[in-house]
Amino acid sequence: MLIEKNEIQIYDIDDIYAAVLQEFEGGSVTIDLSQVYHIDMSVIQLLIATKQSCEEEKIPFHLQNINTEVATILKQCACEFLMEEAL
Amino acid sequence: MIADRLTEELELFIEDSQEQLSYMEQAILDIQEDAQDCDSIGALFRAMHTIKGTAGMFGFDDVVNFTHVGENLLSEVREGKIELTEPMLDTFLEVKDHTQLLIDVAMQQRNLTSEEQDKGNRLTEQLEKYLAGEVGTTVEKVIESDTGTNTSEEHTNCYHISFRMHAPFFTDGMDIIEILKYFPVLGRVLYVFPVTCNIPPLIKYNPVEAYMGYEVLLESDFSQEDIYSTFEFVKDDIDLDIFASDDKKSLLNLLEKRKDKIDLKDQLLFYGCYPSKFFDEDETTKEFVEKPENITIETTTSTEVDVPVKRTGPKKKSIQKSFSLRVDSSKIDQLINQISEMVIANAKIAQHADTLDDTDLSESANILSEMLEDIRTGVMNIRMVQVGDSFKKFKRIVHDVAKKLDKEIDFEILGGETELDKMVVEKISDPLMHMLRNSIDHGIESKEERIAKGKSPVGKVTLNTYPDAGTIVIEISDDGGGLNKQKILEKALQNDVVTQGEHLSDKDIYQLIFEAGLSTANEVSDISGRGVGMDVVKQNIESLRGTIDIDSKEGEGSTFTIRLPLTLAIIDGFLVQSGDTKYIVPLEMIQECIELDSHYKKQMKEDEFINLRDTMLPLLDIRTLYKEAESRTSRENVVVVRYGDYRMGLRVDELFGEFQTVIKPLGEVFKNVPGISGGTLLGSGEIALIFDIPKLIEYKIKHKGVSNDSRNG
Repeated sequence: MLIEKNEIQIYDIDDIYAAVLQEFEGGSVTIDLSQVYHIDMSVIQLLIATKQSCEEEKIPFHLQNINTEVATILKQCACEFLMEEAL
Repeated sequence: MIADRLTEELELFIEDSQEQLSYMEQAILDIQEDAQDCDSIGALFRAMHTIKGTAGMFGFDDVVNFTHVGENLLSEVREGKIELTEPMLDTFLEVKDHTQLLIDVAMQQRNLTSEEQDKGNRLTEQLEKYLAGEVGTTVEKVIESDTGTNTSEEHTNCYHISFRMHAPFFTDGMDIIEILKYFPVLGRVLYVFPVTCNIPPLIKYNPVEAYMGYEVLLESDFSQEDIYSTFEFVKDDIDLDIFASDDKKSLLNLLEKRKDKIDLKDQLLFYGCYPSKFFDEDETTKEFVEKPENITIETTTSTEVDVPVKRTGPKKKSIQKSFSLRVDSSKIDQLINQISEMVIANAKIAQHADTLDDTDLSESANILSEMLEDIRTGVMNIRMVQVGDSFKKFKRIVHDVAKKLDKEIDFEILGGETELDKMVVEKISDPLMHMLRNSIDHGIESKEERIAKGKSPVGKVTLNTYPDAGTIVIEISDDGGGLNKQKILEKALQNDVVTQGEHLSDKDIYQLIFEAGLSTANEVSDISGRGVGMDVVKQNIESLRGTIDIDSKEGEGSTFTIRLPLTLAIIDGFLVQSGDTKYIVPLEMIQECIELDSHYKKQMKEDEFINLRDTMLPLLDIRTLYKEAESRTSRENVVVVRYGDYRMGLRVDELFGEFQTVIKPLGEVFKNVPGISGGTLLGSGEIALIFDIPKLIEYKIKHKGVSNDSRNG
């Protein structure tokens, strides 16, 4: 799934969650962050939740095309582990 | 953008930064008085540090970059490495102003103008000059070290910071990222990991709820209080614990408290934050503190780092938990309005109880009345603030004006602990500022002139506040040249404010300076002297139901005395009647009530005075003044009131007693009725008019020729 926004945050989280859940139920989650330059903690938390659930259910989980800006935020939040399986 | 997202937090930021800027200014002025004032140097440093920290949380980089240089310099000063000089303090005053500007610019979401940019650069250069000789303190280098974890510096304290976001954290508009980004600025982050074990599986996940938390071990030179202040804007939305990392007791308490799905101890051990022996039951905290130095732990990057333990260094300040609340003043106003309505409703009940002769109901109404009075007093007290906090800012104004005019001023604030309604304090601020400027500009003579007159070259200006007879008195006095009566009169004649031959007392002449356009200043300066202002000063004071009086002696100085009511909304009144109309006399101004019996009537002088225990008391007949109908009772009474130095008797018909009075403004119709400040609704639904005692006294003095001989002492 491609997120077509530059900035994603709490106001977008319901939509993103619905989309992620759909992929999760489809058996594979790949999130393309190529257009995203800013995320907030609600988004990071959703990504962690997704990663944890995918690991639990042995479903592939990938973050794709992470921009430097988003990578920096993940690092600042000690969440680099989300990028371990980045494509 | 950020500003749109965090409106509420930004409001708090603005409030907080205003407070910090005010602390900064106060600290600088205090240091100017006592260069060795370590507390003020510390306060100045903390204020600048807090502004930088909170600005950083909102991404206001210009503010962060600018204040960082100042903070750096202050850090050196605090440690005694650099001496704090007078020019440096002046620079810090400019730094404070420029910081204010940068915050304003950030809030306006605009770019700095080239002029503003130049000023910032000039100040930064100036600060760096003071820092000269110190390696690696240029802005760029400092900022560089801020953006990454500094691994080379030694820090004095090590803290364990643990927090869990409350479920509605995100929906409350909060974000924690800016705080996490700020940790490296505070010191060296030894460990940081997110607590993710409480996040539910995706199918049970609520995307708007917060489930996470963080554990951080931070080495820092800052105090625990400073670290707490970093969380100022989110502290109500997280469960936060901060303690020294070697405080085993606090750590064990934390482990007990945290109800994570994975035991916190296991998580801390997993991430290598503490050695496993730290948690051994048989090891006491004391033992740990005494033998920490050689313990090393494995870090996530497999390098060995000193265990976070207490180090020697400056003694940490004890944390004083604040129990103050920041409440929007409109909420208190709303509460006061509701109480006002309840007071009126209760007055109606009391009236009905009297009509029905129902003693039980009457008693209940009385109890309710007392309770309402307690609540009213309590709520009013919330609005009361010590004037000193607000008046401190005048030190800066005096400093700047004196410097500009090349005068030396010894400015003293007395009675700063006096309490006054916050709204009154705010509204009186501008008039006071104007009057202080006037005192320095026109009151205090130049150094040369003072020396020639045999005075000290340092002029004295005093701002004194004290309570008196239910009012608050604010006096501005100076030991300058005093008001020139002749000059005021000449100017008043020129402007047709008075007519030739008109008899005026000294006080009347002084009052003329409040007439529009009547400046007697020889020179118009950019500080004062344009004749625009003193009339506005008087209007502002009168709009607060206050009065202003002047005493002056040529060559010796002047005193401006402002009297203000304690509160504006509800007063304790005394209900009286004259003719068909009921009136309220503010209770705190009443000295006594006497029956105007034949004994007094015999000694009356043309209905204008009575002999009250061998003192001539001027009398104002309310029935005559307001053309009231004849009294229906044969009995007459006199309410003796006092305002400042003046006493007067109000001749009325009936006295009803105390009455909680909710002041309601009267419309334009009553604008020109002398001596009436408002109205109030009685329980019966009738309207009672509230006397404006100062105005009535003024009326009596003007129209009946009563002058200072009626003064009480």
